[in-house]
Amino acid sequence: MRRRAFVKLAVLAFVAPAAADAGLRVFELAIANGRIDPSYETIRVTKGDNVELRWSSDKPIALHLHGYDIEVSVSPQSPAVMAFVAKIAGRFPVSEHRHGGGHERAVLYLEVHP
Amino acid sequence: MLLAASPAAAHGFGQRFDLPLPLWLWVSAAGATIVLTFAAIALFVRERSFGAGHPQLRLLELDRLRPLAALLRLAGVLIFVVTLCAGFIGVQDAYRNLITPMVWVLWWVGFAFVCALLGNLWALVNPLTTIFIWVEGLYAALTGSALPRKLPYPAWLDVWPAVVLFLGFAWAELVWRDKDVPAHLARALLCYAALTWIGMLLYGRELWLKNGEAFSVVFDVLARFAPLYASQGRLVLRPPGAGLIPNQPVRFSFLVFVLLMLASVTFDGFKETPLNQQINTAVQGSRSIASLLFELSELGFDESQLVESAELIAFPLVFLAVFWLTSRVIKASTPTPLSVTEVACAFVLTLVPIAVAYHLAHYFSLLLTAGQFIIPLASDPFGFGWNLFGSATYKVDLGIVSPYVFWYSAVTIIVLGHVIAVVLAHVAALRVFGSRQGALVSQLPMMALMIAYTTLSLWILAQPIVG
Repeated sequence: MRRRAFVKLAVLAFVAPAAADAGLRVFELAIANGRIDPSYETIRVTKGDNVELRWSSDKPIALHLHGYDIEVSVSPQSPAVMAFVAKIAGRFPVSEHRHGGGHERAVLYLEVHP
Repeated sequence: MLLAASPAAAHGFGQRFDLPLPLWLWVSAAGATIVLTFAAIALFVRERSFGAGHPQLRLLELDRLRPLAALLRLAGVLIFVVTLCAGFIGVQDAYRNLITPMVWVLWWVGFAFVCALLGNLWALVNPLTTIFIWVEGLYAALTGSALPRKLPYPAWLDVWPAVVLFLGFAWAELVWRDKDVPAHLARALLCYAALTWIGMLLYGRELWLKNGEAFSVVFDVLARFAPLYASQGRLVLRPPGAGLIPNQPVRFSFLVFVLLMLASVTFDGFKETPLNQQINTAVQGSRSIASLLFELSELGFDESQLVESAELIAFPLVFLAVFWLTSRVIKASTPTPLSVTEVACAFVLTLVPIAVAYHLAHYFSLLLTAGQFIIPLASDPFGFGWNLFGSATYKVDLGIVSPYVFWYSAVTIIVLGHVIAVVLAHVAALRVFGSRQGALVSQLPMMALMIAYTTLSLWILAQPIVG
């Protein structure tokens, strides 16, 4: 899996000059027990960036990036990637989707600055 | 993957995605607030005739607007009925059912805007009133007599029914977890309508609208800020805020209502701040409170809902205490026969422009983003896959308000609101204390309070939104 991610990154690096004005921002985000390392609680990117949020988790978890409305399911066996162009500026939570309702907790916030 | 699941599962409809104000902008705005306040005071010292009266422009006669008013009323009832039906029989998904954006965005946020910036549209189109009038007419046509005799309205009740009902509404808006579940929202709406009609039946339509229909009271307070109002059969134009200068002190229950309104607006913003998150965590971490909360949670509310409910009660009490203290200082600094409560009742409305400005700043990007859900939902109000007007496939554009537009408008609106409030306080002081000297001295505590209130509003907008 790691190798595939590396290959993908290499490919992106290769095509990067075509989209030189838009930066590529890759974040490796490891969830442990439903939580993220505090230094990643707010991640900041600039509008227009190509963003990749690469998720891994020690437990199965469903994640939802609000605003951009992207959902992924992550489990220990299968990490997942949210890849998108940060077209909308603002502050967007990524939260855990749980079945049976209950209060939804934000795992982290993505800030897209103008 | 993109359409895998509906985003509505949780995390309330109409989330805000605004970027917090940058620090430098917050500091500049707070600085401007203080400087402008002192500039205004300096102006009051020099200008003798300030606030003697305000200009007004009489526009067209209201009679000419009668057909338009009738049309608006009919539209109000139609929208009310369709909204209720959507809630009960439509798809139970906050994003595919008309009721959620209609109630929380278009009606609650939208009407506040229209009432504060134009005039009291709610008084004109309130569907609960229209339906009641129709029933009155039907009853008269069938029986040949008016609805049965009403009970006398007890004087001590005053606007307390509206205070209690508005507190209930604020709880539903800010704490209630099911507020985005269409059927639950529809049920709450219907209950409120039934309660209003019972009130109108018991005490008479006008009396209940004035004292018990919480939204008539709310939108009336907001519309006092508005430039348009009806007087003696004519539409009249006045400077913004002029309607907030009271000719006589408001009643105590009305003061409580206004402070409750202001406090709930502030709490709305405060509860999204990291500080509130910390308070919540700290409270739930304390052993004795946690066990109490756990016992209370047997009633069906989770712990954070209980903490938020307590905060919703505490905020208006703190506002009341701070305002009462300010009034005490005003009384101490100026010889006046008025009691502290009377002083408070004479000045409370001058705080409204700050609340209006904060409300506009806090919500206008939400109105422009979440409000767009109305476009597809107008074509498919129940989520059944209809396309009545061909707009069902409209995609909401969240990027419609850029952060720069949001930041600069929010700050401009808040500083403007503050300046209007400062001017109003001066005019009110002249009326209450008569002499210019007394008015000027009395205003210093009020100015301090206003600066604190405005800075608090700006501070909330500078906080990252959490939870």
